[in-house]
Amino acid sequence: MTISLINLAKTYRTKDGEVVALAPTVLDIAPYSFTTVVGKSGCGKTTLLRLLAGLEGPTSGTLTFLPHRPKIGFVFQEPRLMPWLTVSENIAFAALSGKSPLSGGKLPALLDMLSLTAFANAYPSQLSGGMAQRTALGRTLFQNPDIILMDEPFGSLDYFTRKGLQETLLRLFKQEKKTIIFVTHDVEEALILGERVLIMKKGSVTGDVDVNLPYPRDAASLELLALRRKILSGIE
Amino acid sequence: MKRLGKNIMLPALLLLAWFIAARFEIFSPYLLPSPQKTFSVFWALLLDGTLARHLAVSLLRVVGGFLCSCLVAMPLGLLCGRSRVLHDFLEPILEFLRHVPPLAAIPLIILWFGIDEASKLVVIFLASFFPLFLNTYGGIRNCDPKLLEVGTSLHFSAWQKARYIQLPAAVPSILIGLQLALGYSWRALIGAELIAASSGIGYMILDAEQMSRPDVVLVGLFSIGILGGLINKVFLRLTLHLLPWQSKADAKL
Ligand SMILES: Nc1ncnc2c1ncn2[C@@H]1O[C@H](COP(=O)(O)OP(=O)(O)O)[C@@H](O)[C@H]1O
Ligand SMILES: [Mg+2]
Repeated sequence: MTISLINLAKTYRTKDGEVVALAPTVLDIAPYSFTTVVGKSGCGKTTLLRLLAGLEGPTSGTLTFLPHRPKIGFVFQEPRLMPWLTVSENIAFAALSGKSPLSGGKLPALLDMLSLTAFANAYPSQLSGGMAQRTALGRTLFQNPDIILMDEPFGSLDYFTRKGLQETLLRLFKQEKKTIIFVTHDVEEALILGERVLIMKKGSVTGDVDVNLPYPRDAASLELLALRRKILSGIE
Repeated sequence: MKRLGKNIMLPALLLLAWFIAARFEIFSPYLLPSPQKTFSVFWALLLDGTLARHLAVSLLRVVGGFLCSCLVAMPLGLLCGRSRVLHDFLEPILEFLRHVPPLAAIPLIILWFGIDEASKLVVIFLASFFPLFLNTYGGIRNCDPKLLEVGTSLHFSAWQKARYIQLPAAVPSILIGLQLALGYSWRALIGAELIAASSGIGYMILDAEQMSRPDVVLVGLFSIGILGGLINKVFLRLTLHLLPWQSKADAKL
């Protein structure tokens, strides 16, 4: 499932004039790869993801998926759970569209993988931030997407919760054939997770770093620290 | 138990004040009958069925008018919430009608619908229409666009987004509308019965006033207050049942 961006660009019109959220960008993303995107707030990371998801139309340029249009799942920055539904019902929410049937065993397996079984009947208002974000991830996985787009999904979580979720995500990536594009403002997180790190600056992709290190990665290792320094100098 | 004590304190004090005022005839008994007298009249009206009959008539009117209003106002609120065009089309006339109190329209309503049941239903309909319509409409309009976008990302159709996201998100607001509308219906109906009716609790009060029976008037007033409170209680129970996610919200795991 190769994703190709050819001069893909997005400009927002506001009352103070035009904002170039994404300058014309040329980029290929390989199938079954884990790409992370880092950059300062406002550099266009969310815009890039929304364009890929089709939540936003481009101002110019084209976006193609080969060999055919994949199923795309989106994990938002906030959990965005339906407050009137339980954890199980939120995860199986996609079943309501009739396009992702609720086949037997799928929901229990997801609850188990995300350690949510004990909270299956809880409502979102009763959940911690980490549990809510795991539920949101479960809702996206329920559709069995080919491509998972994630927009700073762990940004508001504490250190340990975030580590746990990173491990869950890497396990998922190893077990199932998925293409993941993960946006973060945290360089360390980008390096722990990504096989490839894209650096964004003021609406452009200005850096493209391959991370050829085995999982699980040690944030304190010399290779990682060197890459971190390199990426940070690219972002500044 | 402690709460009950607090709840009952003020009514008990007022009752005592009433009792003392009547006992020492601070006001003429023709203006303020004693609590004992009022209660015995209440008991008599209850036993001979007069009170129950008038209350039942009023209650039936409220239920009927309220249901008619629900059937029109809620679907219309949903449709307007979904369609800008329909909303902009209806807005001027609704905005005008909203500011006309139903009681002010009673002379016209009586002229058009007579003094029988039809005119009562129309008054209740008008009184309950706007809280129902506006709260349904508002609930739909105020649905968090971020939740709607979840539907988009899951490839929901417009109908599925309305059915599975906007409508459930609007339920708390719709319930508030129902509660307000019920209160408005009651008030408007009593008003209408005071103006033109031959039965109903409002009529009973007016009739008692003309017969110089303040005790019966008081019985009517208390009945309205108590019945209104009871209906509201039932309604809150229903709300808790329909919104388990809000009542459970306090119970953090
Ligand atoms: N809907 C919008 N309307 C106007 N400007 C927007 C909108 N969305 C994003 N922008 C602008 O586009 C730029 C990039 O935003 P975004 O993609 O959200 O950045 P990031 O996710 O990296 O923080 C910012 O300057 C932001 O203000
Ligand atoms: Mg962002």
